[in-house]
Amino acid sequence: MNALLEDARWQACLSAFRLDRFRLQELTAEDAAEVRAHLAGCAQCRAAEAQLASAEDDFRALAAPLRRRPRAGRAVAFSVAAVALAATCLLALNPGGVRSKGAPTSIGMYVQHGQAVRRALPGEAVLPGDVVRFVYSSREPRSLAILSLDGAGVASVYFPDGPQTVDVPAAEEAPLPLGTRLDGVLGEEQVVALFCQRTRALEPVRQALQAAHGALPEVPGCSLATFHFTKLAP
Amino acid sequence: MSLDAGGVEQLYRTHGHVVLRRARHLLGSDVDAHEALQDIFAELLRTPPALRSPGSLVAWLYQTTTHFCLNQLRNRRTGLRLLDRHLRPAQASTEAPRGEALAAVRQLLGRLPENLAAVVVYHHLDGMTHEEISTVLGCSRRQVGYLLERAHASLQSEERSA
Repeated sequence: MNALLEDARWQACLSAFRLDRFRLQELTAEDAAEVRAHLAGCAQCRAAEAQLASAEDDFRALAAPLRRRPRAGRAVAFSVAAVALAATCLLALNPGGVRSKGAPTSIGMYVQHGQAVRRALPGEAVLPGDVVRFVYSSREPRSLAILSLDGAGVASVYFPDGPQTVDVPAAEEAPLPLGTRLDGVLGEEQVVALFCQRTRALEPVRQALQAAHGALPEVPGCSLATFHFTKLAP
Repeated sequence: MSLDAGGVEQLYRTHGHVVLRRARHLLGSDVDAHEALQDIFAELLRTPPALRSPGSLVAWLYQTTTHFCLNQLRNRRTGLRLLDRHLRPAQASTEAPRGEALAAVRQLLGRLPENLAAVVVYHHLDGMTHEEISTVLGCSRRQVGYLLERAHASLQSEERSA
């Protein structure tokens, strides 16, 4: 382990932190003069400082403007028209989790593409054949279901594999006991999680979601959390 | 000192490169790093922060970025474990690493308690002195040394049990 840390360690006398503070003019005049003098005589630190400057150039060239959008899995009300989730493979899994400290309710998603697994962010690009699965967080026990709406305007129930919402315990990042392998339907997809106070039949909700053409339906006694991703052609 | 929305947007323009660079290093993925950059600043817009050390925005951004990225690594590890357990025969693994050592360190960071992982990041990946780490964490240098020792002990224990 020490060898790994040694191989991965910062390669300069001055820390990245001190060089950042120097470059962003946070150091006192005395400290800044000390750094300047050190840089003049240390090629390794000059190279490190050049790396930071290069990273800043990359940021100026490549970074998108600051977006004002919610974070992953936040319970938000927004309308996304097209969706394309279709379950072609459902796998039985065991849920688990710990008590929540975060937002009241939220969902998140993991994607497996080939050998790689990643945490999905809103708008995540996925491919047909990728496997997705969801995790939920809730401060309180709730009755949960996850539905989706496809680009053709067809709503379907992702979880549970039954006609009603399923009681789940308060948890943080608890996995749902179903994974889904995505089919070949392309496009942007909206996933809607229902966190209900009590068990609720899903068919009326599915029909309402489908009838709303992408707008979120009102579901009394339930809060909604949404997530969306985009399935691209391979 | 607190930042309003305008202050956060200004901070993004002037200091965003620090967040992006460190997120790239910690997460090992350009895509994840750009998302981390956006998420961190979007969260600042949503909940304008009260800065404990107004004299060092860099210190505060180091702490915020480290916290966010360690959570991401932990989430990634959760996903790996879950999918590995339930989606066999496919073998789950992280995306292609830039360097073998750094990739291995990322996996280990995801297994350490956050306070221990953070001092490993600051000390080894950022090259920070105990004094600098104490500035970022707001604790004593002695406490930093204690955390580093615990981190190394944990990592050695993992190495022995591997």
